[in-house]
Amino acid sequence: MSALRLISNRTSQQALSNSDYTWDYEYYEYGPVSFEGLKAHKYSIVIGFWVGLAVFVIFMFFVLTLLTKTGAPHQDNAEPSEKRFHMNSFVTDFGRPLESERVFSRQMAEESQSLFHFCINEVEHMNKAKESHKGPGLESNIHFQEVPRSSGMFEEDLHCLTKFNIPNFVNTEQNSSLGEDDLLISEPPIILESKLATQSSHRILD
Amino acid sequence: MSTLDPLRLLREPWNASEGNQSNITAGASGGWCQGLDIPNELFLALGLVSLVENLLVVAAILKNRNLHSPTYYFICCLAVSDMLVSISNLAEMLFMLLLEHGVLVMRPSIVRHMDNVIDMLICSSVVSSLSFLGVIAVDRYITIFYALRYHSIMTLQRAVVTMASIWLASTVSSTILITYYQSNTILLCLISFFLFMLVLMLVLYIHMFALARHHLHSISSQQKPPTAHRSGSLKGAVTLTILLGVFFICWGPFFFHLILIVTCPTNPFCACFFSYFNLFLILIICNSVIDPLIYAFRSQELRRTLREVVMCSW
Repeated sequence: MSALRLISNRTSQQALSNSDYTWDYEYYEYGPVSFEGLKAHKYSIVIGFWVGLAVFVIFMFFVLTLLTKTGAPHQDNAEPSEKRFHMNSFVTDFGRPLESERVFSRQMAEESQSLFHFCINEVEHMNKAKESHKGPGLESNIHFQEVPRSSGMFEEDLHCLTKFNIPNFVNTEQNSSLGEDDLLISEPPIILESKLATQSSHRILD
Repeated sequence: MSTLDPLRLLREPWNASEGNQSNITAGASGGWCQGLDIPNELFLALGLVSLVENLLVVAAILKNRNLHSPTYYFICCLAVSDMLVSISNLAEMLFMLLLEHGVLVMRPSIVRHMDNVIDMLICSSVVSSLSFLGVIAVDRYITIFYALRYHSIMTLQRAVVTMASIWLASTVSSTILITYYQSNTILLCLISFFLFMLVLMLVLYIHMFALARHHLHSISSQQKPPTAHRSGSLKGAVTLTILLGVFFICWGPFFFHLILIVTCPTNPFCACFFSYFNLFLILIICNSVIDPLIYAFRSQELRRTLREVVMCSW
């Protein structure tokens, strides 16, 4: 960037005087700036800025680290009841996830597949327990319109997913092979959404 | 006539009101803040490293068909705008060296014209780099919080439209900036744009981090030995600190410089801060060196493709 000052100097010199091309490293007049009678140190803003920036970054790191250490264990006790409440309100076809699994299978590790089945089975068991509250066709069709896509669904889905370690692998989840058609035809249940969310968050932040 | 160009105005804003070229000898002003004399070789080296890195990122993304998705298109565009930052800087270096050694002789009007073109290139690459950082954060946010609907929200067409509009907006805004650089309004627009991106990235990333922490906490509460909890959360905290910290450290000083120009252009303390302008530019180039490392090379697929690209070229 000092080049621009150099170039401007030369430009101005040539513009003002059509003499030979000389290069002067000029200092500019500090006309409007008065340096008399200053009480504070002249580098105060410079030092203050850098120290402030460093303190801010370190403070941010410690806040984030502290956030990881603190947490509310009592939240998990409330979750199972909330989970049952939400389980009443959505219906999924558990034969379908296998097909969806095919779509996502190239990104899924072996252990997550088996544990995912475990998760599905668990939800299936819970649904069977609530079968009396619902009509027929509970487990054979996907009733998309009955699936409430609310943020509250996160809690109960997380609860199921939290039973296994989310593998920390880096993958190209959103590659071009996952076209819109796949998701429109066989729209996976909510459980896959939060699974994707978990995978994505760990992919990005780990 | 005023011969002050935009970037010199940023470096010496106290000349803004006068617009003259009166000079004094070095001794009278030598007592004040010396600033930092950045050697040209450092500019050159950082520019070359950034250029090579971002070229590799673009090559890797273009080569691998798995990486042809909106997420990676945005990372590719970030790499392109970082490449433009380093190219414009290297062009300026080359320009200066050639003029200094008399290899290139041009009329003053052409010199000024080239000067403006380079300034415009620098400004547009800075604006687009910032925009793509924000867009990548938004894209990641959609990936996490709207995971299943991601492909219907972030279609390829919308991604292309976003990229094209960002490039167009950065070109137009840099043209306006270079044309009307003496106006405070333009600087305020730039500063508010930066603050908007800053707040956007802060909010999005911290929300994503909170969700990841919640996941880990739920997992650890289910397991008997809480093994993965601490290390996983700590890794997330470190990643987030690096992402946001690099953003603050690399972009913050330059825009604080702009803020001081708007608020206190003639204050001697602010003038001391202005003397470090070259350092702030070096930090922006450092950002274009570090960005591929923290955005592109985090992906294993991209690293694998990069290895193939490098091995093939050997």
